[in-house]
Amino acid sequence: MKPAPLEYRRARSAAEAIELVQSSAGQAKFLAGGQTLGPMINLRLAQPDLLVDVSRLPELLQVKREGEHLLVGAATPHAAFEDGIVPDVANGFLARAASGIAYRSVRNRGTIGGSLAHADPASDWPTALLALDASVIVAGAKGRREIPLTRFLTGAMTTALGDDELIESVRIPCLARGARWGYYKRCRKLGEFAYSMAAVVVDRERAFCRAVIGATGGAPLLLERTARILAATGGWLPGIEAEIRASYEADLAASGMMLDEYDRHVHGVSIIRAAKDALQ
Amino acid sequence: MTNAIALTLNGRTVTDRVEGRRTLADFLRDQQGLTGTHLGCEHGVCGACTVLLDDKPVRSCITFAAAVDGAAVTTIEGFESDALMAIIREAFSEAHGLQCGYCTPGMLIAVRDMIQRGVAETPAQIRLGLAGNLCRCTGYAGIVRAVELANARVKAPRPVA
Amino acid sequence: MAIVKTSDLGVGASLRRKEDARHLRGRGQFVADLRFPRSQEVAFLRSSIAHARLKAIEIPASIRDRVFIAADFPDVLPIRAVPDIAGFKPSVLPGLAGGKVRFVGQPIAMCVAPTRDEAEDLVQRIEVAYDELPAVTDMLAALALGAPLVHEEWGDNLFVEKSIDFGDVEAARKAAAVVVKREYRMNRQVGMPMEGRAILAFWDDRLDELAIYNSSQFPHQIRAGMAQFLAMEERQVHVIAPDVGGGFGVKNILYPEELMVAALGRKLRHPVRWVEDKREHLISCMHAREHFYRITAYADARGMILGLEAEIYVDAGAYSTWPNSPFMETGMATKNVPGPYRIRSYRARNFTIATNKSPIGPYRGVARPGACFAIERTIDEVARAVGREPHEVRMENMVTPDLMPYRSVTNLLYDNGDYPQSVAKAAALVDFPAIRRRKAQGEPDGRLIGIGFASYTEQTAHGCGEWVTRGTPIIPGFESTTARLMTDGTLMLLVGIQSHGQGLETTLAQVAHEELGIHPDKVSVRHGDSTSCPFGMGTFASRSMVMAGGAVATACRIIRAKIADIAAHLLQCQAAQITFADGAAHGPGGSVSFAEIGRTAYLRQDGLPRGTEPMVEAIATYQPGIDTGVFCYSTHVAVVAVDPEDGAVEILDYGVVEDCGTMVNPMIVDGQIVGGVAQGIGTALYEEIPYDANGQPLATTLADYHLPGAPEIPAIKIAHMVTPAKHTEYGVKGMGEGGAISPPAAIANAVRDALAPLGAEVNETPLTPRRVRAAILAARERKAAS
Repeated sequence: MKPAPLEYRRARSAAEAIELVQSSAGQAKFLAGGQTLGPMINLRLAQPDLLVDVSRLPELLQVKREGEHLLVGAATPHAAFEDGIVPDVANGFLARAASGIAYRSVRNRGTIGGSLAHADPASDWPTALLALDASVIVAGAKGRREIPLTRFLTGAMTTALGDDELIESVRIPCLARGARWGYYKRCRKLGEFAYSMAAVVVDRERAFCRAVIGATGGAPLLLERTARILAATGGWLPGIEAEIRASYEADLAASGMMLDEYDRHVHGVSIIRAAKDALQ
Repeated sequence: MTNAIALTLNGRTVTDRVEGRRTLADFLRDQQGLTGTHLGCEHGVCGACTVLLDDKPVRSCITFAAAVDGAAVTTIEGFESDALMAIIREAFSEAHGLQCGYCTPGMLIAVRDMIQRGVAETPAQIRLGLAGNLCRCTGYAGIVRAVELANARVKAPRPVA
Repeated sequence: MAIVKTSDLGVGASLRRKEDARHLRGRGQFVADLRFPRSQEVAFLRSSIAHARLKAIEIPASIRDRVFIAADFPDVLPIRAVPDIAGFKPSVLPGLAGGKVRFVGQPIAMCVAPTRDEAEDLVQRIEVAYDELPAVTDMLAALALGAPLVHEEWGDNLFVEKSIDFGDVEAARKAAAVVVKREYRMNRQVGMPMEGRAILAFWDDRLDELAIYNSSQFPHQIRAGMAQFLAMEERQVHVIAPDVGGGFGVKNILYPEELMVAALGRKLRHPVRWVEDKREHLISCMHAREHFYRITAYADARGMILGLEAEIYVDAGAYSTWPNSPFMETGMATKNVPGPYRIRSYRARNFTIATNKSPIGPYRGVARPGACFAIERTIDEVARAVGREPHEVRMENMVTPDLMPYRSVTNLLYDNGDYPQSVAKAAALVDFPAIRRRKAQGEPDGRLIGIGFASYTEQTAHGCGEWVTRGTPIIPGFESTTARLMTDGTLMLLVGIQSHGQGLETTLAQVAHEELGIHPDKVSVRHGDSTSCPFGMGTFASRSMVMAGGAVATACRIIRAKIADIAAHLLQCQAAQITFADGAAHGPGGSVSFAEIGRTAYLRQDGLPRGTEPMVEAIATYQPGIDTGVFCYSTHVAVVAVDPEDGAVEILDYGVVEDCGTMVNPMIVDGQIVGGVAQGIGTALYEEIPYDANGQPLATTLADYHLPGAPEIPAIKIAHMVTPAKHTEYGVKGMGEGGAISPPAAIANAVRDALAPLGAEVNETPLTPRRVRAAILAARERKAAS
């Protein structure tokens, strides 16, 4: 399986990258690590006319602390989180989420921005970063804007990104030292996409609590009632499991998401196990 | 429309022209005559095509050749005088870590990286690290044993049973 | 003449492999690696519809000369594979579809270009108009009256239907204290060697022949098939299997794509090559394993099986594959359902069914994984019905050594071995009592522990008579070897089998050492070339070491006798006084090296004894002492943890107790066992190609089709029993497929054991989390209802 003909250009700046994509006569896509786009192009499921390589743009590789946030360049590969090159501002959660992505060879190339832009429902970053209340800083012809992930991730493989907009960086709020998190996922086979995934963050100091389920076939789902239960509880106490199961069911009902019995059940198991990890 | 690329390939400087769509794997095999890198799936799952790109293992089937302009690439052919690879090869032969040989080049490169990063300390850890390289022949037992042997020998150069 | 063993280099030595040298350096030569001037690449246009009449194939005029369709090859015959089985309905598989397509992926056209990229560009420019027909995708529905017909002229969708009735099942039914009725399903999958199919062909003007480089397990049979369907004389067809990256039976078929690429090479007079990609492999390469069973077992109060009834359904796909047809699968399933047990009453009906799916072929184990699943699950259910441990009931039903040789109810002659002992040893291997204690304690994480056994016998190296009963058109009852002493005393062995991971370049050299005392490093084994290698049947059916090893031994003995004569002459002694060791012949008064023998025999015939012809070379064929095969056997045991919440199954421990008689190279034997078990685990837990109602395959990339990786395969504990075969050289039995036979049954039995408190069982592979959880919920409902 070989790609259809395409043109490859390497941009020298984010502005140039955006301009190249915008002005392309045919279909143009940004190329970062290529770990998602590569297979699709090889399979001819995607046949872009132009690929604009942004993987080496300095603007997309910067990592810096900005007050109580970390700004991570969109072209930062997952391995950089796994290896601790990216500062640990989430008590190990970022490294944990990253190190479970696919395989090491993929993590050496795949990027946080690429993962968010693609927004596969079963991928790790959207669920994990939603749980951390991250946002993306996006650049386009009309300038820059910041979009919280709650609004950025709109559905399966769909985001608020415009066709010629490029994720420049990801803003991740720093967790307080005592913050706890839980991340639970299930795959049919290690390294492949999850069939169930849940993330919980409990940061009492910052009065922040999130519960998210992924791998639902749509955008990751915020479980707001469940988050309130977790925020209120003093720990992993008797009866909490049943409470979480009930709040999860209520969150599901409120979301209108249609799931079959198996998925309903299994996602509930995942959120309980993620919560247990966070609270125990 | 082609792109001119210049890279360090197995230690030599190489210049060539590549179509935009040409993968690194096909560039290596068809334009550079280095057929040791094998195509197993061409969609980034099996790892047979693993090469080093700037010293990191990557899947050459989903890397564009044009994207490696200015980089250093090492294929299985580039490890002829590599001392660590020699230890790994010996261990693979001793532990029967290969049968048909098709997955082997990619496997060796991935294993070398694991040993270098110190993540080949236990059989369980080794199995996790090998997840990205599929083998259909060995059932992985010989491979895991080979990695254990090689890792031990790297750390203690005296002969280890 | 005696052999003096100077070191552990012969039969029984775990010699490191000669093959490793090239593969560890990436210097293997697979078909895709070959470089020929002017060669071009082929891409196939394949049917995107499961069942249709081809209305039109529209090819832009500007590319017409680079696109090839059926009409461009009037001289190529369609593939027909008709076994010698009464009532089998033939199917005609054209190299390129002309009138109808019958499965998604069926090849319709070939496009040729300097690169594969460009060839695929050409494919994209062709438009096909289909007259779509309803697709047949469920094998049971295919048998229903009024089902759409895959082959209209048949009148139904049955390749063939057969019945057998042995003993007195009626009496068994009347006498039974316990009746167990179950349905079992093994879903469709592929073999997926890491190297897929590949072929390169060109006309060699110097040799006036069609040169075909083919990733094949049986080059001589491919030669025969190519010659037949290309209507050529076999002397002008040359098939070379270079390095082959795994086969597992997938490459024991002549595929339409391969036939057409060969035809194209003949037509275009420049090399053309096709290298299959993994999507093509999933969609259009031979499929495997899709069986459905209805089993009824009649047993007494102790769980002794009095009689067995079986309905066996095989979803054979759209066409009969060459050479052996799908009936080989059905026939073997039928024969092996009674398993290693003393069952004398057995009645079975089997159905080989055509559907609009890729045709099936012989994947490692060939039907036995399905048969093993059916009988081993049933034995467990019988045991549970009578309240006893499954492995004990299993042992008590088994054929015992004192009854051997034992002719099974389906006429399999179990030669020797201790089947019950393999079960007992397997239980010990994983510390059965400890598992029972652990199960009783319960797991802190709430998972459920279970242990399951599965035993099998594997008929190997069966000969002429057995293959005749299978109705196969080609009878692979022998192997051959040419043993050639070189002028410098080194040795060349030319063999008819093909080594693609089994290490035969090493192990056959070990056999030569055993017979001649020559160091294996001084022996070259040549295989895979239909011209230079003597006629052979190839590698499959776990036959190679018995058959080729026997042929090597025989040929080496012939040249040994001549070497002894020459040595005796040179040493001025009697031939009977000559011994062999260290690559030399030794007499009472001195020694002469093989190098000296070779020089004399080829270059200095003036030194030969009177009446002795020059050269030292012999060709020999070999057949084992019996036709009915030598049976390796094994018991597998799996210990699993099942998460009742999401149905995930983890294998905590896995043991194999295996008896393949004498082992030529124990290291390689273990490698084959573990490799087989890994594939069996793939069948048991991961691999499946579902089809939708329109006949579209739903797993077309490795994102959907899960091959087990290292984390999915546990360490496998192996214990060997050694009961040498009585009718083969060195007492070797065939092995290699067995590892893949038992895992689905052992794992399903272990899951059954784990879920026994819940009353749930899973009788379908793969045992996906969804299926396991569905079984748990179904059991809950049954409990609530009762």
